[in-house]
Amino acid sequence: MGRRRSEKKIAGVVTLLVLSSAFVFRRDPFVAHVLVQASLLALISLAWNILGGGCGQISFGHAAFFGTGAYVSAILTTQYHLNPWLGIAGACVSVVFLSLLVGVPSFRLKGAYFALLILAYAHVLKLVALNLEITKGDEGIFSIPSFGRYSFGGMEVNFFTSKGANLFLILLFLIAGLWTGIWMRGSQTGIAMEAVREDEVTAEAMGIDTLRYKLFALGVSAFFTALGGAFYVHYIHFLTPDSAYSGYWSLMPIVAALFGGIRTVTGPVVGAFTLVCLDEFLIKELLPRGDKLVYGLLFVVTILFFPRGILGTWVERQGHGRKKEG
Amino acid sequence: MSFSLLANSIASGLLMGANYALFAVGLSLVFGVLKIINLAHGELLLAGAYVGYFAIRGMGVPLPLALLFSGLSVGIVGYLYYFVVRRIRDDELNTLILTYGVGVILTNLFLLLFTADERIINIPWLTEGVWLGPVQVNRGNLVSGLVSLLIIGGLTFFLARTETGKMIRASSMDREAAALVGVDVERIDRFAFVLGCALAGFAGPLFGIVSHINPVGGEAVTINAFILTVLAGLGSIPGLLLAGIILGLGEAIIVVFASTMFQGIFALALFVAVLFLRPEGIFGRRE
Repeated sequence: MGRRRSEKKIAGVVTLLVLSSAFVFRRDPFVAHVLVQASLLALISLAWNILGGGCGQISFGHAAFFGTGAYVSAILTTQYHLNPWLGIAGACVSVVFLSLLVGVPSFRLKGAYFALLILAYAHVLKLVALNLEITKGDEGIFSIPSFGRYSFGGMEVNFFTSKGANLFLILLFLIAGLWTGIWMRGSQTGIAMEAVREDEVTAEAMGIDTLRYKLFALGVSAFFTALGGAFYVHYIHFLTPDSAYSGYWSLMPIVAALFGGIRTVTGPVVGAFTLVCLDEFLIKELLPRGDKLVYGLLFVVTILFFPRGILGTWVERQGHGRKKEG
Repeated sequence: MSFSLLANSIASGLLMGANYALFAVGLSLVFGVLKIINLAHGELLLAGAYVGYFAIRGMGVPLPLALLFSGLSVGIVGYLYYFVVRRIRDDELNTLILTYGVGVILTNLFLLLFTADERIINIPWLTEGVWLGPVQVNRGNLVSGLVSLLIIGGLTFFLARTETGKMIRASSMDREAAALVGVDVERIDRFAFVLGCALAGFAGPLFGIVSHINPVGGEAVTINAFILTVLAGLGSIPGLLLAGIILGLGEAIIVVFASTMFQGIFALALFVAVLFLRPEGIFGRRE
């Protein structure tokens, strides 16, 4: 029980930290842009981890969900002239449906079939986006609308010009994801998912419908990933198959989650903010080419020497300290 | 559509199928014996392709020697790689993640060292067409298809008849029982892992002859290799040949009637179909 309470406390502190940093830097376009990137990666990483850390199903192709979410919203808003909010909703619904196409064939079997199948989907979807007319092939889709302009009383919010407005929006999504994760972990569903992660055969023997919980975790993960993808496309305003299905969206969520700690809910958020800030202010300065090599090395060192990640190791130390005191 | 076009593509599809089997054999061996999916398999194959490319193009090494050289150098990399994997192999999920990370490191090393350019190993006498009765095929495809048959055949013989081969099969069927009857399973694991990596390296230059060497192309090789491994049935080496031919023939016929997009979709559809219809593979046994 102690661990769950400390998880809530950490999530609370992180929520306050990101919100206050957004408030401080909302008028600085460069820092706000870096924070948007960090929050976006944090959201995808958190979503990845609901499935990976929470349920033990490792995805090497979350770019499939991210890119499809981005394309659906882009197509709905540019070719069917829907409102971006409806575009986002459409993206989430279709990506959750897509996730069933990955989960249903592979989750009935035990083993790493899911990990490989989603990798194959990410490849094929990029190929499809390159060849279809509706996605405009390798030229990509341009002039994708922003979330528009609103005024509340005397205050005006313009998503087209203000990085700060977009920052608060992605933070809203991130915080929604974070607390969904915290709520899931504390619930019956989260406990069942944990059982599936630890030992699928035993979980099944105890009467847990493992297929159902794996699909549920996948659906939630796909939902938040699509949310991130659709946000991205209305923030950047253009989309190509390379940017939508970029290996970045498959690799970096895993690196961030591992680095932060896959056994915690908040770990991926901490990992993503640390990595993006390190990347912007340090690694890109030192290594203009091949900065991904650093992530590969970081990835392998983390999994070999501290597989619990920074937050996971910290939470564990806290736990041990308290036990000794008591 | 002319008959000869279809006949030619069926012939090259058959040969490509044999090649696919060779590109998959390392992954299948490691998966069968150690139950580890080596997600860096494609990247190791590309490493062999780069070694072969520079040996053949830069130093004029003849092809057979280049194949052995690539196999040997990737085998040495595999030996070091094995000691990293062994540290955490009890944890199945972490091992899977680790092999993915090794693939990422290799891909980015290729990008740093060799840039993003696509390369092809161009050996003049291999690019010509040859007539096989009524059909014409590319000599490179033919040579590499024959080498593939040789390797698959040799490996099958090795596993069936030799002492070490029998120990490998015993260890892959039941590790504990094999250890009880005196098989040094640790040594067998190491041997199979290094052999699997060396086979990937050996196949590399042939991959560079029949296809493009692209620094980020490793993932696609790994996916195809895994699809064939599942289709063939866990650890079935001869089954790989049939699985490879199903994929190669299917793709070749689809390209005649439709676009390259559907070629990619075919591999995915095959994967999903196998998971639904026969997850134990064509030659596998239901557990």
